[in-house]
Amino acid sequence: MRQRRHYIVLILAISIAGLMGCDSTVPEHEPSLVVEAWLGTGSSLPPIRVSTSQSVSAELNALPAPEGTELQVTISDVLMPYERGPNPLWFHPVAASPPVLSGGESFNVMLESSVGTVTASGLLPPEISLLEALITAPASPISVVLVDSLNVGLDSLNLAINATTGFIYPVQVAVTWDDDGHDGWIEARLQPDATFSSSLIDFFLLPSEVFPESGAKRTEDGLLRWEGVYAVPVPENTSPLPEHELRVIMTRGDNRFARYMTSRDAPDRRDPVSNVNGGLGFVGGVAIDSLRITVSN
Amino acid sequence: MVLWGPSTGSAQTIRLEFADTPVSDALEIYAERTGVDVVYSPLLVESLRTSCRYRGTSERDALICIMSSHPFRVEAISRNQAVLIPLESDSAEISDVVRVLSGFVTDAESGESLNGAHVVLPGVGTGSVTNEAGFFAFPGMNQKPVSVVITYLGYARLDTTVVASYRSGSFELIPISYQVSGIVVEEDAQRRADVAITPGLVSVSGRELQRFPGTLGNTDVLESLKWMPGIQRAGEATGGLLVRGSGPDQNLYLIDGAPVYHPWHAFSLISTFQTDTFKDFSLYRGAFPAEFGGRLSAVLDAELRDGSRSQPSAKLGISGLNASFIMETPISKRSSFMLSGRRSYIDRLVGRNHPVEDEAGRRDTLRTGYHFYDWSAKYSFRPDSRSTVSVSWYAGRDALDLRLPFDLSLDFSSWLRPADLFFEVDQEWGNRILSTRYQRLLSTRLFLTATLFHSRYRARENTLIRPSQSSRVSSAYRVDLEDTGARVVFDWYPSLSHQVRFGAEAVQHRFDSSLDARVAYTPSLVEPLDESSRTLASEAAFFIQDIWTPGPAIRVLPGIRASWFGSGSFARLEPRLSVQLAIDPTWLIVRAAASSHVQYLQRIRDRNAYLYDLVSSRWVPAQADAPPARSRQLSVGLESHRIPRTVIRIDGFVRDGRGTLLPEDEFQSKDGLLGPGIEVATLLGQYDRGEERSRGIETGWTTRTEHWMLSASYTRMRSENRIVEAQKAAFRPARFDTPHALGIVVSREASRWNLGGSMDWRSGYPVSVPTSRYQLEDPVTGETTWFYHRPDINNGRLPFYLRVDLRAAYRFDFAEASWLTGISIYNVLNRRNVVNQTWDPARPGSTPQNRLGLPILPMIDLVIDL
Repeated sequence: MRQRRHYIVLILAISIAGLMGCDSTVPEHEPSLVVEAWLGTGSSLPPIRVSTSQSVSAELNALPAPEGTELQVTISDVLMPYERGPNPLWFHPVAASPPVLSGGESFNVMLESSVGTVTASGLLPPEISLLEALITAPASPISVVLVDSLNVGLDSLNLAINATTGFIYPVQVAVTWDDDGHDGWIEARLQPDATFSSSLIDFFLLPSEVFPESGAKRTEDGLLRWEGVYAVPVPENTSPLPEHELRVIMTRGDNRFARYMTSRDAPDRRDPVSNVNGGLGFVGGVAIDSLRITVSN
Repeated sequence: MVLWGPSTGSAQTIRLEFADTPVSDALEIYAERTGVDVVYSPLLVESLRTSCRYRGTSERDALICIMSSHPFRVEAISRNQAVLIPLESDSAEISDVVRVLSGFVTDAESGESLNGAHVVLPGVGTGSVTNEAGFFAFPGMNQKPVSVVITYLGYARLDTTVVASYRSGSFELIPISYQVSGIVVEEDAQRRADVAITPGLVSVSGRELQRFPGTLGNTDVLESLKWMPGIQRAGEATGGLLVRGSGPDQNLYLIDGAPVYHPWHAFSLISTFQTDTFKDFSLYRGAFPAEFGGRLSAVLDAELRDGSRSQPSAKLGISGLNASFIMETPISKRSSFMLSGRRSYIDRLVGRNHPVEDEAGRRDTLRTGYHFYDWSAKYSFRPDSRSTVSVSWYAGRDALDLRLPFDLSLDFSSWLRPADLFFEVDQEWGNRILSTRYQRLLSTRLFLTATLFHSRYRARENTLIRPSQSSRVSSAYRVDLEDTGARVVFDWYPSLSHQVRFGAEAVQHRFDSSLDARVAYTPSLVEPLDESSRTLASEAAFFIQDIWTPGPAIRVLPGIRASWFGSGSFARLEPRLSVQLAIDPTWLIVRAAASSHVQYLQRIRDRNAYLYDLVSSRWVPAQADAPPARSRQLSVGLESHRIPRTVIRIDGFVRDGRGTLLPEDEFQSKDGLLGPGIEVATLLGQYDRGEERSRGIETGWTTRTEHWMLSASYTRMRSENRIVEAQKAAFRPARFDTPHALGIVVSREASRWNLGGSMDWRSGYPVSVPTSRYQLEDPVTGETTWFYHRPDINNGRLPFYLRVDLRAAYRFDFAEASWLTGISIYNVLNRRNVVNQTWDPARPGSTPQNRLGLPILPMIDLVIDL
């Protein structure tokens, strides 16, 4: 009888252990170094932002890299010393007049700290030169729905509930640049004054795009061309187009750059696809050119 | 043993008069006049003659009159079937002649064949399971009377004595009706567990499955099956079936032998398998026999009702979601017909078209249409007692038709006005199948089943969005998948210890899709996307399997399936082996199985674009960069009927798979309108080849009494996967990994009241929980953005899921019909289960935003049985 009781207790214990087996592990925070280095062709060595990831429950203040973190940047096998600046988030070149980077040069970035070692490397793309920007806007504003996302999926058809309407000037911009035969990726961006930008209406417009350079349209002159549209909201359907500044920015990079740029626009769903070994962030060689234009009626 | 009592006599007067007539002729005349089929051995009566005169109402006495001068005993085996049994003292020499004891098992009320009935010869120590035609055979029998016990869930046990002969007998089982008293209910517990051999097989009649809860007052096969161990639904009340940690696309759904590719309505809320419409279901979990192929995880083989052979009947039903009917009728003595239909009616209540006009006189017609429907029909014809021809047809469709203002609000009245900015969605998706089946008993040892089928899945999505006066988005997307195939299966019974099934099948798959999309950002900036594709792929397979009974306690089911797939010229072998050891037929049965499965078609979805992926499931054939997926499974199970009226099952399994498609970027979600297009290569580019593995223990407890049923299942399981290309990638919990799942169903069925309750408790699904937060700067503007870091996919888990449903139904008679009205309360605890979580990195703290499941929902339904 006693033996049977022991068996029952044993079976119960095993059953309870099986039932209560810990499947819902709580992931633990492990700090990582976050590096942001944008090495621009035709530009001098840039300052590099280095921070540390923090616990999800911490205050929303960027956390600098730990004391003693050392940053080494190598350009075409030449070591370029960096040191931490007055703002602890930033590391600056030690040289008083840092060298200007050229297309085709290789770079290597390495960080060593108590958190770990982080490395990244790549090549600098050739320079890009914007030639022209042609701007078109309608004579009067148009009515538009203000919606920031289409929440459509198999489980729901929640299409733009509680969206509102307003008025905008859709401003179309055509940009051309030289075809130098480089087969990289481009991020084209129309950056009006911040006060005009609104993600609510951008969804159905084209204020920015990441695309392969080989897929860009060509003009009759053999130039590469991209067209985008941004919105300038106005209060009424009779309002004139407000005068504003527009910056047209074209950034050239590699496929990892494209991956990073297309994955950083949904912070609630994901973190960007990093190209940094052992850490987070992005270290990339890019070529940037921009035009600043005053747009008025 | 069923005795032919005097009460079974017909009310009609039977007149017989024979003078020195051959007994065989006399029996034929007797059968014509009484409708009672007499089973006997022609060899035994070929030299016998009879002289008899009878006038009366007793079928038994009439038969005794014919056989009175001969050494035979008359015994009934059903209401319209009798058997002539030679007395023991009869000739010893002919009793040694080897014969085949074979027969068809049918429903005594409707005449439908019963697939999966257990036929046991207790005296011989063997048993078998009927095939799709309800046929069974025991070769190597002598002509001595043999006791036969036939059981089937939901039917009264048939216990009779027969003699092997040249002819196949017919055995009718009486369905259990709780309105009929005096019928002894046959419990599953008393069935011979050692007869079935396939581990993980759930074989159940539509009648029996109705005792399990459905969806929101509807009887639904796939929802009912989720109460079986190791099976769950992917979503809360929606989503595909997950069997032993598999993906929803790894299950094969068959209706009368034809595949159904998207067996769901109402965004997977309910399935196309309406319980009333089907005769029986066989769900093979994991190690399915060699006759089935094409999927990695499970096979649901459903048979439409043949239609009643005895009398017309009709049933009408209405629930909160839809109205339905089913009618069955004999057309002639040898043919029957079944027709059923179901349609949702929400669009009839809300209205489909809404003409609107504003103060300025502007007119528009808004649309709010959604409906789904099913049609099923089956015509069965029996040209003779040895063959059946049936034609089955099924068509189901969902249609969504919306035209609404874009700036709609939760206030419904605000929708109904003309609007310049609107969206239109016109979607349809559905399946259509046609299956023709010919079944023939070629000899007492060889049975043929030939099936021709055509199956089509079609989805169409037309969208027009006008978000501003100068921009416009339109798309027309279409996906078609058509299968045309033939299957020939032979059941061969060479000896009492071997039942061989072999056959071949050939299928032609056709994949069509097209997309014509335009995004006009401005009138002069238009981005078009116009693509189409067509792929043909042939698939052929041959299989052979044998139920080998080397001894009374052991059964072995070896099998092999050889298949070839045309689009990539893939050839694969799939060996299968099941072994069963009956330590005691009722006390303990041990089963083990090892099997290999190949899947040539996989389902993928576009992970980037909004415009053309709302409802379409894209099935893509195996090709060079997406070779066939393969899985292996090993399972061991125990089954015990030791406790009266109770079946206890414990199964353990281990399975792994290679070549399944996993998203290349798990976090990629739709963020664009057009996306990369519908080229298969492009879509496959969003996926990587993956590996998966799962293991678990399933326990099930089922107790049935005349009125009560208690079914409890607990599954302890882990399912994981990883991308093969990712070097040293660790296995991670799969999307629907559910370590613990407990389901309990209790029902009580009496003559008036049907009461039921169910509880569904399981671990929450995995979720990718952020572990840290960091800030990044925009390289151009310098703006900072906070991001969460999620180093591992599915590293956390949602809170556990718990739901309790209740149901009560009352049966009454009114206006010469039987009525059943019921109320189902979904989520009676009103526990708002967390079905998803999101985190906003820009908000302090780490509290997730929970997306909650459905609240308490009462639904009323009514069924009228005419």
